[in-house]
Amino acid sequence: MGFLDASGDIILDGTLTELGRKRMANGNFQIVKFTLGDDEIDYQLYNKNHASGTAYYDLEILQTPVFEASTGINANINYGLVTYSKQNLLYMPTMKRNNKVQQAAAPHNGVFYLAVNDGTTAASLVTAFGGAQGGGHLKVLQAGQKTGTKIIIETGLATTELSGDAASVANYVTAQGLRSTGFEVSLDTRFFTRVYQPTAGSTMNNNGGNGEAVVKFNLQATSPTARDQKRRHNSLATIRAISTNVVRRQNDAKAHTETTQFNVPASCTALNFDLKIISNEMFNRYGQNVTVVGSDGNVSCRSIDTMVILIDKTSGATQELPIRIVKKI
Amino acid sequence: MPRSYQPITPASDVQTTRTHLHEVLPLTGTIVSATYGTFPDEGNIKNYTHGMFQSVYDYPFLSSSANHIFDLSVGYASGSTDAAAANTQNSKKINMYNIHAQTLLGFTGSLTGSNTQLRKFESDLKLDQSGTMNSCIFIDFSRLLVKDEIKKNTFSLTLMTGAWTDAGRSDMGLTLTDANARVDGTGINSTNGGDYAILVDTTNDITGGVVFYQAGIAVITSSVFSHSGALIPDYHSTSAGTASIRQCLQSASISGACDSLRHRIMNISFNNTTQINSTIYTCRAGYNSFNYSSNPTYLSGAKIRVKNIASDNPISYVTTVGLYNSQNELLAVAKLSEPLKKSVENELTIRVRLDY
Repeated sequence: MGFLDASGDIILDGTLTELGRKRMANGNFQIVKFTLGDDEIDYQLYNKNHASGTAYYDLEILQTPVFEASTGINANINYGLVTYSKQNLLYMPTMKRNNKVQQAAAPHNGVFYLAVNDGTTAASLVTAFGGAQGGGHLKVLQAGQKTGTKIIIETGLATTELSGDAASVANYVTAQGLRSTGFEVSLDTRFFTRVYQPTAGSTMNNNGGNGEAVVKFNLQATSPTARDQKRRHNSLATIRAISTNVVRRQNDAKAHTETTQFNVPASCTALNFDLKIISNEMFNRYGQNVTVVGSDGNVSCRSIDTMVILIDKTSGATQELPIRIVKKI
Repeated sequence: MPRSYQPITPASDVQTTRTHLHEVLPLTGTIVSATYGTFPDEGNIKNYTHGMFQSVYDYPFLSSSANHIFDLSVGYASGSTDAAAANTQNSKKINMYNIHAQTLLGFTGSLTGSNTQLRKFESDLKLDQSGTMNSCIFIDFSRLLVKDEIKKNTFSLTLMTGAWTDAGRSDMGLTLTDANARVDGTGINSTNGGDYAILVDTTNDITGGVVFYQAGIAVITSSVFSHSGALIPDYHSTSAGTASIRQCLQSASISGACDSLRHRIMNISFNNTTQINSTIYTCRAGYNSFNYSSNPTYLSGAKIRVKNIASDNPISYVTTVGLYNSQNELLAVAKLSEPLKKSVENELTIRVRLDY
């Protein structure tokens, strides 16, 4: 008879992060909670069809080498394990940019152009991108504008295994608590001052008519309130989530997927940005001069490339939004 | 961006512990003389223009890989029989004695009154100024070696007391140890310089000095360099001739006396002590916690990869523990050596130790 392995406890040596050392030096080092991470794990290695049975499903995952601890605050737990009260979730939301409804901003060559509010840059870029008739206005965000083009982001279940009707949304999204309670926006406060979020009265549905979208995003400003502990120059703002009530209905003339990115949508939000007054010297220091090549012309601009990160506070789904701040020369 | 946290309750999940680590430090006599050059000008011996002490390194000190291991000096008390204005470096030798005495022992009487006197080293633990050691050799060990303190009952200093040309004769040595000191406080006394104990040669029943554990200083009385009750006549040797240690303390420079001492050190050994204060944070992940992941690879489309049907247990794999403050700032990180499976079938208790 063998002995039982009683080594249930695992003792690990911790490494203070650079922030931990700073807090200790300041005398306000107090740990009050923990979380678990799995950054090294590639769940694609989980083989549910392994010929040798269930014991072998995660064999490759369990053999994953693990990095040593880093002292950086952004190099340890980028995603993290999540606690949901329900253990029977089969689907989880992902995040996508909506490119189907009016006023939804579209990237140009993979980048969202954000024009400084100087009265000329936005107009020149819209013209270069084909004008309002050619959809050029959707390729240019204007700093400080509550109306017009905005980035619209959706969360939902990207699966065709579900029908996408109201019952699917009710059973797999609402009942599972996967409607977003809000989004965190991480942005570089060297350039951005405020984020525009949807007002409480904003809507996204296809409740009326023949399935046409009823989408209304009124924006209001909000400011970053907390430092982003993972990105040195960034701060976090929380913006409102709107429930997406676009579902497949019988006999509609328009498919619900002509409005939403997801067969089973969950939530959405819309955003635009306001900028600091960025001097030419800042453009030189942090960016470069570019020639923006559009279908109807070119515009010479000073530019700064930055990344805005949007995180669903409920599911943790994340979307990176590459932004090019431009000012016409 | 981790979003699920579990609280760490100070009363039940945080423990503080104290551990003492010890290292054995054997310093052979070959390090201190004639290994890195010709005695007395070895490359690992550093003399200073002020001439008040001599530093010994484990490698030629001009090398960046050299480590300072200890300093040597000699001195005598003002008013002792050895002190005389005509002596070489007389005031510096008195100064070295006084520096050590006032730092390690302090003063007697009222500290502000006119009768304040420097407390002299004694060959016992009484601090009654009887059995004083007026002429001493000082071995000041580097903090790099001593760490927090010398472990009690581990100090050993073997000196060669033979003739200059045959210093290491097997029948002419003595080994000074703190044989009577114990970690529990037996055989020690405490004063300004911390805990100290008597160094004795138990074979020859000789009291040779004292060792200060926290300060990392051994104070050796000059009279140990005697044999059969008489000072050895050639403790010191130069082109001018030989001298006993008393003559050496009077006529030689401090560095010259230290050179002679190095010639007579056979071995030094002790265990150092590093005190480690640890805080252990107990991280408990319950059955229903942390069973899902926000890792981008966790989903295939919208479907959780590790499930076939909704009733399958969710599974995640832990590689990292992050400890946070109330502002969600990551203060410390611990990594597992291999991924650990987490599901509703198991509960994890991970203890993360932070050492200070």
